[in-house]
Amino acid sequence: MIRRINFTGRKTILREDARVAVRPDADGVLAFDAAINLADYELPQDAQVFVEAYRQTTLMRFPHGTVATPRPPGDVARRLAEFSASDGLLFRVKVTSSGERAGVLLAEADRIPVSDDEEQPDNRVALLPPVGQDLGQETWRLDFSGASGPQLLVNNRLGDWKAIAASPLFRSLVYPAAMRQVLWQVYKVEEIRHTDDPDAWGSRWLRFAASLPRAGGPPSESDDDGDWDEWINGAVESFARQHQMSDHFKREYERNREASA
Amino acid sequence: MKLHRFNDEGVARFARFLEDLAADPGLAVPTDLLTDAACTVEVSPGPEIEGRPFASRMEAARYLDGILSTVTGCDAERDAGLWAWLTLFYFDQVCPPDGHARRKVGEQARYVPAIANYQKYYRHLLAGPYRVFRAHRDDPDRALVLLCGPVNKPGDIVEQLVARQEIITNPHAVELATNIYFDARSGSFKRGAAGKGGGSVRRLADVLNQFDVTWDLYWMSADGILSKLPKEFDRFRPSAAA
Repeated sequence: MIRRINFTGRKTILREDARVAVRPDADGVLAFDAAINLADYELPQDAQVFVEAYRQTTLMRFPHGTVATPRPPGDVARRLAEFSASDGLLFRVKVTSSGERAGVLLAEADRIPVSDDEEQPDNRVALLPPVGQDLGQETWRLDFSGASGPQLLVNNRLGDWKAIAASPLFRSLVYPAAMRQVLWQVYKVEEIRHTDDPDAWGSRWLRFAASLPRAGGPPSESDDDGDWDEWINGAVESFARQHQMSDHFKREYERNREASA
Repeated sequence: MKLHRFNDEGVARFARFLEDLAADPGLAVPTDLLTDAACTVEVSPGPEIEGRPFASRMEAARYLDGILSTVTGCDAERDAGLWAWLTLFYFDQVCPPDGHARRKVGEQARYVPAIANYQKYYRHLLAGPYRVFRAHRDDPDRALVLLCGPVNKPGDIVEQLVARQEIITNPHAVELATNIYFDARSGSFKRGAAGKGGGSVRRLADVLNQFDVTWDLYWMSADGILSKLPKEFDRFRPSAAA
């Protein structure tokens, strides 16, 4: 696949400015509510805003008014009738020029997961969505085959793989290791060194790692594996410290041991 | 026969048969699994399904859509047990025997759908065309280039276009692909559409991928996108083929 080049300076809408909640209507059909904040993007006031819901071969597109006059679809119109469940459902927000350059994409947020009010806003789901899959005797694996970023595959033979993926034990063991593997993939395979490419998923990961306490920016000008190894280790260490991974592991391990004693 | 779906045991036994078939291409097809009470569940509300031949992926998708649109109580598109059962039901079409009654079995995702695998979910030989048909059911003919082939041989064009979510879900992009690569006279692909050369479907996928950064392709018509394609596609333009 060729690398995509952003010739026209399309803007990337930050995740905190495009949130989508999904809820079932009284008859069980899913419907969405989008909270979109475009105030800081200096977009033309008459540009059109669209929300797209998609999963694999299914896509629904909803007009959402203009930058100046947001007009979310009504209660009936925002029903996600094509999707029977929210598993794997993602959203995209597009801002499209409507003037002389009609159809030009001015700004976009892609791969927006369904927001969960109970979830900590640590970008974990956004960056590494867990997906159930038959992995034989492997518990988890990273899948880099998608164009828009890695997925955390969790063995669905384990039973309730979603509960397992959300468990403190799993998270404390898997997420730091997965993060290290992803960052190495970004550096060595994707060959992405900078944080400012709005189209590259690798850039998003570098931005996330660089935003962690005391991690600092990546050694973008260096091709030395040692420099990158040091930076990646520092970022993973910071991530683990921020989420108290070792404490969570110890607590869960002790609890399980006591329960089985 | 009443439409059924495999339970976990049924899926596992069918998957084992496929593994065994790869090692022994002359193995008998275990059609008894189709009604084995330990492996199957009848699908509500009990529609009948016929063992009819399909001339193309389109014909298969249209027929299955007619049956599955009546089904309740399961998400037909994402039900691996249902598609595995249908695969066994139509096994002579999805994995036909050669003149010596031997079958060449492909990767498992062609027979048991890898529902959550974004790299493989569309490769199922029956669920794949069904999904394309459903995505374009307001005008399935726009997806002819993806549905004109035989059930057991989707081909590279399908692989290149259906694998890209932004393309397969976009009616204008799919219509464009049919307009430039489908030969109405032969009912098949134009010569040179597959492969890696200039103007090929691989190049179209790459070019659309780049356009998608600049343009909202859902906003543009098929002709609008066509007008922006580089010269390498000229030999496939409808006027050039006429």
